[in-house]
Amino acid sequence: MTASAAVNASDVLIVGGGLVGASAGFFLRRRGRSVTLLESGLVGRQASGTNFGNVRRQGRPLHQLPLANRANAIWRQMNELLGADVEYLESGHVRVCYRGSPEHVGELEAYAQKAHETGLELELLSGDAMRWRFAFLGPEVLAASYSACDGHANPRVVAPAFACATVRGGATVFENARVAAVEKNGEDFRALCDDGRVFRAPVLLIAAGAWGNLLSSQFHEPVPLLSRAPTMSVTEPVPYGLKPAVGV
Amino acid sequence: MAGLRRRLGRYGRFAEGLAAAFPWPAQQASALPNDAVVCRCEAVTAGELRRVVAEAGAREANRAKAFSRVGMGRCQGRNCGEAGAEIIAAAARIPMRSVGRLRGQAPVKPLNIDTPEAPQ
Repeated sequence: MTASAAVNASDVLIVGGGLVGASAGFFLRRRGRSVTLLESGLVGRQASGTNFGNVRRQGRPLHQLPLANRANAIWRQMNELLGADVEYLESGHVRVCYRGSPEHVGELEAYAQKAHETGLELELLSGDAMRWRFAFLGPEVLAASYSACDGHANPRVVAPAFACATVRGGATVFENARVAAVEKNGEDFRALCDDGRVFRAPVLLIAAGAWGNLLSSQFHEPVPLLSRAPTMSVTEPVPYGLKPAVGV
Repeated sequence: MAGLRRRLGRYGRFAEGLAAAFPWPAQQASALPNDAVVCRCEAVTAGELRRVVAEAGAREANRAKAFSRVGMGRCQGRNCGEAGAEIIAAAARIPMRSVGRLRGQAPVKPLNIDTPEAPQ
């Protein structure tokens, strides 16, 4: 084995330096796995860095809630874990339904009951109690479901903070390393970068977000994806207008 | 067009003369104390910019903006863009050119919400 081949081999090879890839690298390092992470541009600069920053459990499909609850426990200790302030605040999340579709009230109630069984507490409000608490809701809102322990974080810093902590933990992160081809070669997966660098590991984690399909298709496992960008404006820091995030 | 180019050339030579007579004190960027406020809109200090270079690995103006909010305020970097780039370049020991410049963001010029539309 040559020296360079030894450098480019690890227990786990992660393609994609967004929140998924960077956090996976962080926790794999904590479990003692050697990790190499390849990022085509800069860590956290695509969807992980330019989203609304919602950290939300309410409204997710029920089967996702056990995982989301575990993630919430991690978010609560994120600053200590990463040694950086990711600006996570539990400012709450409100889901509403409208007078035009009263049948949705029952759906909110049923969801809250099932969520409670997984450990997510939701508070259902309507009438004066709802308007007293959330004065910003218009007259067309019929009922609201409030999750006190959902919130938001600063998306611009979270994935880079994970990557920095992962590097401090002993992982190797290559930015500007665009993977062109992946293949299984004997016991190992191999990733070939468009600049000719080759990396290999017995475990390959594709966390390439919107580009994931380009890689998974090479194993005949296409994952068709549709990229959609929400419209978002970033203001100067101002006091909360609405404290909780609001969704339907 | 040729006339315009000649005028542009004259301005260029004048600018070069000015730059030679009053050389840009690039060393001042590294001499700024850490508590000096570089970006007044967002209250970002020279020390904070140096931290995002050293700890977060920012090597480019927009990356430093994403991490520190430098140039993200009302002036959109019109006042602090150059100074911020000088500090990033000095801290990262890279040329100003590779620090680049802040991307323009909508609204390009801040307008009052009641600014009337121009007549068609």
